[in-house]
Amino acid sequence: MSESQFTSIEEVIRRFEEQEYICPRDVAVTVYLAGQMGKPVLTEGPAGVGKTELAKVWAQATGRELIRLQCYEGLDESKALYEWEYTKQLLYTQMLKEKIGEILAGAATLGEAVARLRTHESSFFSRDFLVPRPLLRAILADQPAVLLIDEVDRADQEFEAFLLEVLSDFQVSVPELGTLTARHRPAVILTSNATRQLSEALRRRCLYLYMDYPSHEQEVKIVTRKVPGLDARLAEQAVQFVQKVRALPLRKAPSIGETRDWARALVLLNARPLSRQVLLDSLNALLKDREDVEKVLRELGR
Amino acid sequence: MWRRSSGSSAGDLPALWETAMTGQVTEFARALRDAGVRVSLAEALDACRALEHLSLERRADLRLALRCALIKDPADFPTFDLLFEKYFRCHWPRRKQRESRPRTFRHEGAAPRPGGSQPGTRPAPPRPEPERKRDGKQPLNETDARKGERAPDQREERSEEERWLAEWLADLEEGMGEARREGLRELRQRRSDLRRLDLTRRLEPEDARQVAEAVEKLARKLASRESLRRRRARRGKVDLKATLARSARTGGVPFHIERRRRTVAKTKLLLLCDVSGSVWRVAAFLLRLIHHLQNQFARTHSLVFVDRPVDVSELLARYPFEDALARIRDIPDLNLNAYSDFGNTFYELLDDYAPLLDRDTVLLVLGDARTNQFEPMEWALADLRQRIRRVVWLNPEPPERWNTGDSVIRAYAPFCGAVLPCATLEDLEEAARLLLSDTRA
Repeated sequence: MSESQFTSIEEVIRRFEEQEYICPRDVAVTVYLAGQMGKPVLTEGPAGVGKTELAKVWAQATGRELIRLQCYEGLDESKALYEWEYTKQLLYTQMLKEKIGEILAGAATLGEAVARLRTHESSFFSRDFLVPRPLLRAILADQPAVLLIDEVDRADQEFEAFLLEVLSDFQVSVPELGTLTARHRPAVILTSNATRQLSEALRRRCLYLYMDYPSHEQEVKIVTRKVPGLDARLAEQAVQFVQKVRALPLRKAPSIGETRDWARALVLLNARPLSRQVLLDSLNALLKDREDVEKVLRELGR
Repeated sequence: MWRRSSGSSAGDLPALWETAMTGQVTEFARALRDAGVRVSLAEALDACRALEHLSLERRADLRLALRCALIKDPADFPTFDLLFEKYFRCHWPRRKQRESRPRTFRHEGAAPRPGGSQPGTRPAPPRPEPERKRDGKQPLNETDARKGERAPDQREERSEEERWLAEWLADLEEGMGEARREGLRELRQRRSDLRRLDLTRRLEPEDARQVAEAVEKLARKLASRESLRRRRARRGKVDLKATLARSARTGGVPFHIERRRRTVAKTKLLLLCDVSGSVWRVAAFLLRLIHHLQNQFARTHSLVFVDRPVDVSELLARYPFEDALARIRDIPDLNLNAYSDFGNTFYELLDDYAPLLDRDTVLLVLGDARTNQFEPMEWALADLRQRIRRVVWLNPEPPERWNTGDSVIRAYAPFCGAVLPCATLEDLEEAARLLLSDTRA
């Protein structure tokens, strides 16, 4: 297959890097195997480590479309799979009354009239009235896509059971249209913030990837790449500080995105080297919870 | 290093590889299971299949592949790492070994694999010397040219590979056998020891940590068992949204009524823990267990007591568990040096916490019923019993000591649905199962 499949682990790393994504080895192995084996990937980890980003980069690196299903509490089948526009259908039927009359004109018996109507059934129950939601879009896509099911832990267990069914066969039966099967199986990636334990069946089905906060070297690399104008020494200091902050028991530890934003703020403030005052001033870009800020300030005071 | 190709002809090498590695992976999966990691058959098969797509060159890749297929919970990573080191400790094929061979070691280019990836397109593994020529023929890189050719020395090379592979596999097998013999017994032993450890005694920090981990794992196991399949209730509250959505089919007239399909747990748990003396240690583990199981109950409320009940639910909700535990000891209202008074505790519970006592509540009491010559006031417990669904008593003392000295458990027992010992992990598990089986009703 063309470039929409990875042929080796090294290729995954290389192509991801082209998309400015530093790919740790475990991510590369999992993505590669998922593509080869046709299994979905389940990635868990603290918020902000790049799980959703991974899906985007995967789509870009393989030239595939990214279809995103954002999960939330109360998400059900209809919102995820498809909706049928009954009212539109009804409206069309009303407007076409005359035409229908014409078709049925001259039918001798009721049976004949029904038979004639039946030949036109496909216009009544056509895909015009079907509104595909992300899951169905992924199934019906003309080209292989990347299906991102984001924050699946926010949906409930019933939805998980439904998801399992869809993911196993990639076919769906719409009562009005029959069974629709996927022409190309999409690459599926599920993300979870681990706010609750996902069902065993779902975890068994997927290859598992735990994404944690990056190591010092990795974060320096990421930040250097994403923030232009950041000099090496400042990057080192900033990342060192963030790594220390993460070790504290905070309500919301800073994510990679926040490190990047903070680094950008430091560049704008011309903070070189990192002085205590600048730190105090810019802490709000890094920590978004008042208690956390206080806690860190207390630690700093030592 | 060659890579297994499923599309090759006359599967001598690949077949050998496949059966051998399947055996090893299954063995490894079994070891994981024995160590307490839940690995299903499907996952073990996935792991075997994953290996088909890897080259054996890098041990790290093998490790990552096995990990992503077999381990679905980050808490099991340390166990996996430990076992992987033990089971795959044979000499990994080093490049030096291969250099001694006069030929390049590329697997014969086969027909393109149906999955799409070509063996020939894999980047060449880094070699210090350039490819050697083989009897004047071109190096095997040009697999296209070589496709289908069956020269006699290729067969020789194949048997050479076979031999080498068989050697390596034997080495791996031996390593596994060793690991199996030593590691398994020790792990099993440790696990059963852990489960029978007396939690009322002061534990070594390492043991305490392991028990804490085991408690959390237990909570997860019990919780996930509960969530296997949800029944669709034919009765229940009307789901308005779904009904209206369905009525669109019938012109807005709701012919079919959709009901809420979720079976919601009805039980509310009221936890009352004695935290005096040695019972505190068991209480800490019980609190931890219930903390991780709270989603299984409609509501969980935790109280601790020595001579009177103190509400700690908010603390547990606000702070991370370890933090909260530490703070509990600092609560001003809680006098850890007082004498235990069960009677008064029940009395105050009736008095101050009446809103929590309803028909769906289960009261879980942890205590040794040693009430220091205070009045047992069992009528207070009887009164409590009237208002709630049931009382379950967990006693950290061994049963033979019950009712000796100032233990008045016999006074309280008639009002309890169950009185269970609670001094080890096994006991905790028993108690948790009892509680959860109740909620399913």
